[in-house]
Amino acid sequence: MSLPRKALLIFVCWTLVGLYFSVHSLALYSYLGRPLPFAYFARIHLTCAYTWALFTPFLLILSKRWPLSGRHRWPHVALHMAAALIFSSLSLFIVEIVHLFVNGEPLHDWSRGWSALMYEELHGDILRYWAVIVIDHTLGYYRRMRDRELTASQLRAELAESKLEVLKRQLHPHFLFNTLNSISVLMFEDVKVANRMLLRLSEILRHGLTDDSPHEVSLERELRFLERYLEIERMRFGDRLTIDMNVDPTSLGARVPNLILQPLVENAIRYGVAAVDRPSRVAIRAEKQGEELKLEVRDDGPGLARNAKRGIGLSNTEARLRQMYGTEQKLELTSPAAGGLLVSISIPFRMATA
Amino acid sequence: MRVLIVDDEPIARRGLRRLLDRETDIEIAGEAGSGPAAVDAIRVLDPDLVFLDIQMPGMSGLEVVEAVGPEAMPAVVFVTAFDRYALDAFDHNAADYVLKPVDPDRFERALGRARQRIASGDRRDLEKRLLRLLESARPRADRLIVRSANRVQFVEIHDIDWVHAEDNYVRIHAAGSTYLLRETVTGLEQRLDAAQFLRIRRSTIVRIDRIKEVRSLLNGTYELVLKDGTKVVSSRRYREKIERLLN
Repeated sequence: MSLPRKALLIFVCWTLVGLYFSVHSLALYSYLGRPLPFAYFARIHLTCAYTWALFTPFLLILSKRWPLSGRHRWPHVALHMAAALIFSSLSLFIVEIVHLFVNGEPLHDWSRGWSALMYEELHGDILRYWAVIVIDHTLGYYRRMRDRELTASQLRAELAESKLEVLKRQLHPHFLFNTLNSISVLMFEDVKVANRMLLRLSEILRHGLTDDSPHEVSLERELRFLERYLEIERMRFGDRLTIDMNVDPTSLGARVPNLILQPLVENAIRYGVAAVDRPSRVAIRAEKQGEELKLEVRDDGPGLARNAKRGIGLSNTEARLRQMYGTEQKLELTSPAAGGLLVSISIPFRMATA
Repeated sequence: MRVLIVDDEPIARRGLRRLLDRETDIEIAGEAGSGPAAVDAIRVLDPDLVFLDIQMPGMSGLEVVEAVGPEAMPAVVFVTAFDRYALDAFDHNAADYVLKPVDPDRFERALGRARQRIASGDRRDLEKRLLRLLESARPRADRLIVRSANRVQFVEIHDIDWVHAEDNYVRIHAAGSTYLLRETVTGLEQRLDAAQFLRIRRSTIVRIDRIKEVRSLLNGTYELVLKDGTKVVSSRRYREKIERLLN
């Protein structure tokens, strides 16, 4: 809400409060047989109301600084009690002064002493103070709740989206149709091989279409899935593709993000192996290094400089790692002296429960 | 009719070979497993028709067309697994293509159309269509493909310092090397980002951030000194562009 609109709202609210008390006094005095004009009461109550209207911005600041929720809510209540006394006394004082200047005489009889006035009138002002604080607190609570709901629904949408991403990555249309094409060709040459490829593809599709795919899986399960994908690629590339798998057995139980390796290996094959005419090699390594799990995918293709494009596939992986592990992860791209590209990932070493 | 098969996957090549073996008038001239190999094979084998896979890593089918040059290309049937963007361009420019997995009937139809085109002997028509195709589906905007006698080179556009016309070619100076590209200066200008490159005369384009110094000469011409020390003189026709740069 803009500042002028806020000010207007405060003004209108306090005007209504002032008029409410004026009407009440008018009715009360008529009932008591001492009728007085409405303007008389309005002047008294509106003076008081507008004094509080002027206080309201300060009260809102205090309300923000000393919230009635959270760990310090009881000390805050105490602070508000003290502030209520101060503001209420100030309000009484201001109302008297205004009346003295406007009407030539104070509203109350000062001869009885200030403390008598406080006993009679202070309770109403303390209530006004608390009314502002409680209303602000309630509105704030409502606003926070709405924000929380919004964030929750955003998170749900993001989760659904990332699942879709994962699905798209596995079922990369190019990969899917090329594999189908390979099957179509192999059927005429070797039905058994064609069938094996069809089975592996089905497993990959099933894995992708299963709705409850978890965010993290054990490295063992990740490697099992990778093996299915690699079997298809091996059939497609024949002797042009050699895979070196070097996995430290102690790391098999470690938790890794679901499908973290497959896109890296696909990248290595697409840009490292398929891009050159000679036979090539993709090396996959996993080992525990201190408190970290280190995963490496290395190819012997043209390397980094030639393929600026391959960064795109990796930015997904990078974002995912950051989302899951914050600053505890590392993704590095290096071009080893021997050539090719080395992608290495470090994540915290945690054992999978199941 | 002599046919060349280009695909990075041996299985896919075998599939096309099997379909082509059924035809009596077709002789398979050869196979290529990558873009650069395809460029060589087209030149050496001089086939009448190429089955050209689009999505080959390293160098795509469209880049093969670009490297060989539409004027030197034989008839083409493109082969693609999935590429919506390229398919749109094919449809727009009436290019022949088949999808993977390959449907024998569609393959037959595409082959039939290619036969007709080859029989009609209209080379100009083929060249024009391929040129339009390259324009609407520029394979990669960030690099140029330069073909020389025995190799294909890729020039990253962000490496280009300056270019100038040389007979029917364009001489490209990029990252300390020079390349000769079969293209016109105007044609190349259209492919370069106007915010980064400046044409200073009919025959010359320079990269703006390679300019070290601009000296005013007589009658509205300027001498530009590039960071590598090269000096080039602008023509009066491009005076306004340079003055806009100076302000």
